[in-house]
Amino acid sequence: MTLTDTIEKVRAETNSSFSTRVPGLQLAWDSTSYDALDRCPRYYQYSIIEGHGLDGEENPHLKFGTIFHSATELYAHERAEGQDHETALLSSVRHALEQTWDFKLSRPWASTEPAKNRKTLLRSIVWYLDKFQDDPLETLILDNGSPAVELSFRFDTGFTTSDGEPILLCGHIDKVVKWNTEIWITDKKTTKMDLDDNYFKQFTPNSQVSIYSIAGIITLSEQIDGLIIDGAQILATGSKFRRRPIPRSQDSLEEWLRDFQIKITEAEAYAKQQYWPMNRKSCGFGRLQCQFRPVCSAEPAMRSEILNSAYPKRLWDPLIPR
Amino acid sequence: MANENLTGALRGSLQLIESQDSGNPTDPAETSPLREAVPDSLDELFAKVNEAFGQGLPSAVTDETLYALVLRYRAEALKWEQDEQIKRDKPKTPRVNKKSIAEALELDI
Repeated sequence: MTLTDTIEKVRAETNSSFSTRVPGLQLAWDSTSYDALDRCPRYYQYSIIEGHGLDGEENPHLKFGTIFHSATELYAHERAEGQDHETALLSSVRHALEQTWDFKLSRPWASTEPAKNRKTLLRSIVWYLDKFQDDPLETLILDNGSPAVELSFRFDTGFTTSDGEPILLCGHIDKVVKWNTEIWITDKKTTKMDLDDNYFKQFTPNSQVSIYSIAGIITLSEQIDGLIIDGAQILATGSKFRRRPIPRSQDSLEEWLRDFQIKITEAEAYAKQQYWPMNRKSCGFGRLQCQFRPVCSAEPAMRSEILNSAYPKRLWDPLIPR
Repeated sequence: MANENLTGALRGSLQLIESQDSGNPTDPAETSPLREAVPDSLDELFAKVNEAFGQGLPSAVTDETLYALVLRYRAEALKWEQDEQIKRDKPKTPRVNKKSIAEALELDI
């Protein structure tokens, strides 16, 4: 292995969101890593610090959602550049066909999820873009002329570790829109679930909604009223779309920040002790059980072997823009 | 207008990073000089697409083929909406309250 290869290997295995002074102390947080810590410190250790079990490439739900996002983003860019609906739609369709082709194996994407496959993805893209071609949610145009879509953000929260290292919040905003006179951030969600009241209830309280609302206020210097969840229900025979605003008041955002500061203090304590305890009330059972239950159920001496053999690794670094 | 109380708790060093366009522009689709016969069914259209991709020629998929795909999906959307409307219009069977009926008939259920 050459020196360059070694440097690249170390870079690939190093998570830039973590402190170089205190191993396991995360400095740059996003909603995924924060939710993991909130759920259970041990779950956080396995999934974020060690990177087990987050293999997005093999997850059909993540692949479906990622391409749905990128296809609709491409459409938004083309419309902002003056293209008509049909032209922009064809570009999105072509993009999605390319993204769902395995050029190495020379075959189409073989999804393991019956309702989320190449055909239903294309269907969802066409139906969604046709439905919202005259979207009442007007995409904001940034000062540089680009549409405010797929924006990665990071900002200093003003909190620090006990050693003075700054704590950042990061994320990736789908779109910023103007709805009547108000500014909202939209976030697309693809799901098999019914887009009913129960579905939308999960977004309050919800850290992702709070983080994005704060980010919108800080990065755009605009009064952000909250998030609009742009839901797409994907069924084997059709796709349904429904949107709902999820407001956030200043008080609720201040409360979230206060909770965040305390949680980060806990994260630092775990890192300094190099021990992340289990939250045994989060293990669950049946279909809702934690994916690491087989690990935590085993004897401590066996856990490392189980993790390395059964849970593929993927680096989760909030500082890497999507 | 910025939220003063909220931003007061946060330091200013922020960075808004506009991501790279995640679209993957490819070679522009070459329009066939001959107007090809476009198959009707979704499966046939995907077979046509897959054939071109399989030969390593994604740009050989013409806009006509893509548009035929879009039209097929639009036809599906119309059918879906009709079926959904039929479901919505279908009169709901009134729920039978067995206990009330039993009481009316003085049956012991």
